[in-house]
Amino acid sequence: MLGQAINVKITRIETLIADTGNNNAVYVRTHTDAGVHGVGEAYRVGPDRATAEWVAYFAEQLVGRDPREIERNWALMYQGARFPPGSSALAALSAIDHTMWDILGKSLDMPVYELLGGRVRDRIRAYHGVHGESPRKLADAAKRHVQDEGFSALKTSPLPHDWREMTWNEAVDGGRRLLEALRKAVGPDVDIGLDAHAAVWEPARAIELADALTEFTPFFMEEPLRMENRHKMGLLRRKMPFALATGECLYTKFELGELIREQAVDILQPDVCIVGGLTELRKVAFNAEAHDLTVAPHNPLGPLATVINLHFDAATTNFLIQEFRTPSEGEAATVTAGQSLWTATSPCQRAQVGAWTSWTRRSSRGP
Amino acid sequence: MKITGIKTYHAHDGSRNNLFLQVFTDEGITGVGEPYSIGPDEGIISVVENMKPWFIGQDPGRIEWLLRRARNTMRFPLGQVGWSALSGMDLALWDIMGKAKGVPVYRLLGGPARDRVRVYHAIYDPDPVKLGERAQALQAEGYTAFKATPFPPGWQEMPWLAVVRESARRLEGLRKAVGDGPDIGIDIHTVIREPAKAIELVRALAPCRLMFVEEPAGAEFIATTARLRQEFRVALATGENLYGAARYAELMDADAVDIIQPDLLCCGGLLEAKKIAAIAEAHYVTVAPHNPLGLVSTAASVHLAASINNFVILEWHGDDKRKKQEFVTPVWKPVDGYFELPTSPGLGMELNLPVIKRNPARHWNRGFPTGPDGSPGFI
Repeated sequence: MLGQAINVKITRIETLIADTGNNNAVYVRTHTDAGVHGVGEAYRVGPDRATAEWVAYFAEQLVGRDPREIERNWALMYQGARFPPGSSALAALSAIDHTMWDILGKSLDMPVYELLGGRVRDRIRAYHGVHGESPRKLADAAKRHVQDEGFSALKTSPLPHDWREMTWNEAVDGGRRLLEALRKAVGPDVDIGLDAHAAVWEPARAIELADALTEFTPFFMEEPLRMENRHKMGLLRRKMPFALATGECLYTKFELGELIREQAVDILQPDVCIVGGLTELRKVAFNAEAHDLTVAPHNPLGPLATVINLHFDAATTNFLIQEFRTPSEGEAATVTAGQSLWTATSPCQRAQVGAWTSWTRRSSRGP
Repeated sequence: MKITGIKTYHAHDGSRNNLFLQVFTDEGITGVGEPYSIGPDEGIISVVENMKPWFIGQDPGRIEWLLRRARNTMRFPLGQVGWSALSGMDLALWDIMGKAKGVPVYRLLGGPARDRVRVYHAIYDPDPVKLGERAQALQAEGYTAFKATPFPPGWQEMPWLAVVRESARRLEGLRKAVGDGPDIGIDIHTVIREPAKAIELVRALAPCRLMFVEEPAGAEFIATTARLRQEFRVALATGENLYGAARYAELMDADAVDIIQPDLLCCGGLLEAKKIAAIAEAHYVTVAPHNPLGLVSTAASVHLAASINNFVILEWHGDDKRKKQEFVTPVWKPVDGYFELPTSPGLGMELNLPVIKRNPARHWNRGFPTGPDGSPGFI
């Protein structure tokens, strides 16, 4: 435990972009003069080299500063960037933010969730994405996740994979056949989220789609429209027959605050690797909590992003469910330890609190 | 680490009562907290007593879980009694965690985000000349911000136009005494209850250049406060009478406030204040904690101020002659109008139990303010 007496200074911040086989993993490491370092993960925005440039730009100004002063360093980066940062800058800022929480936790020998007011739950419920080109393939994949791996919640597309080549009515009917098969395969009690992935465009079509699928009792419809127009999302939400989930493409407490204010969301889905890090995800969740809304963090990236999310999930009262995808071998190889996070150890594929020690060191008091 | 006990202390500071509590652990670490002294303080003491079984035997680091569980199980919306009890507990739990880890509480909260914490000094004197002299004496000590009531003594009995005229004269006198530079906030303290009058008064005082106008309407009247804010061309500050982040969010969603003033002794504590500050940040609202009570409140407010980006200024009543300064150790004092950040673990303040015990609480109430016709007024 470094405690208060030790001065900690940032000496270097580096970006590590790994080719995991079919995509990039973008990691950031912050080094200090006190022998501790922190790790973080940036969102894979596409032009990832731009993220590395932003990390270098922020690093130039952060070297020599105390990495435990998270709130101040966050504001220095955000306010110092002057123009609204956008995807690559916020991915960089988010990852640097993670590294600072990691350092603070390590310096005090505390898992990060303890810094956030402690855990409010003992295990974290997760949902797994499920895909299949035909109703039968989708049903088989779903059975594997539910029966073999123990998931009690899944997420799939509400439309067939080739819906863009169909008429709208054909696409909706195809979606119905998929959902029907999926519901039949997993039974009446599994939660099934639907991810339209901002591909529909027209609010009226999103309503038609939701109405056509509502008999299969979906958990939520995710991002039925593009993310730019918060007002239109609000109009849509008032007509939705079930919960509307969105927010992965929105940045900071400001944009997600607009979404809340437009009453445009039931379940917020910010991404800790682009929203502005754990600091910002917490602020978004506080605003959501004050409006009686839940948070289900978006999480399509690597195992480190999952661990960061788990700390948030553990400490946040209005957390709902964690998105989870089993990492590929290539992705898993980019981190050490933490395997137990995604190895099924309990009937419902929920990570145990005591296993979250790949990111912060194990507490001296045990799990 | 496990909580083993909770004790409350009730002491009279020469003017009113102060409430304190201590939370004990099996590792010998003791946390210090302060609930708001509301009047029927025995109600708070009994709620703390009632809550004991929910806390004893539990890990003091599970602050969100402990407080949420207590709140949820009490079911009905808590008023000042319940929120003050929870707030006092929150402060003590953070104090324990800071001490256990050997760091000031602001470190656990991701701070410091600043190196020192600016204060405004509240000043009260019925005599306008003495009010100016008091401000000048404080200026000599380095204070650059003040807060005063604009109303002349006995204003409740005066014709309204005379109140406006006399208030403007008082404030002009104060402005003249301190010069153009210092910040001056005024506190209406919800006593007017007529929006048009608040607008009239603020219009008359605005030439004196105001840092903020505090509580120009009752905090429960969110729509009215929002209307006043739209009318004002000076900053509107409010929030000391609200509890829990959800209520603050309503106020901010209504665009009703420029500067939010949660009191850490009744808003829900440090964790709730962090939530309020985060919501405020998303609304471009700054935070100026309300801080008229004991010194543990000051300590907790300094930790909050150190850990948030949108802190602006802290209330401070350091000049009064009350015994409350002796209830704690060490005594903190601002230097050049700023508090330095504490470096000792936890909140950095301990109760001076012998002095507290030598000054037991006395029966206290706020009294009933009345208008010239004998009808109830506001305090």
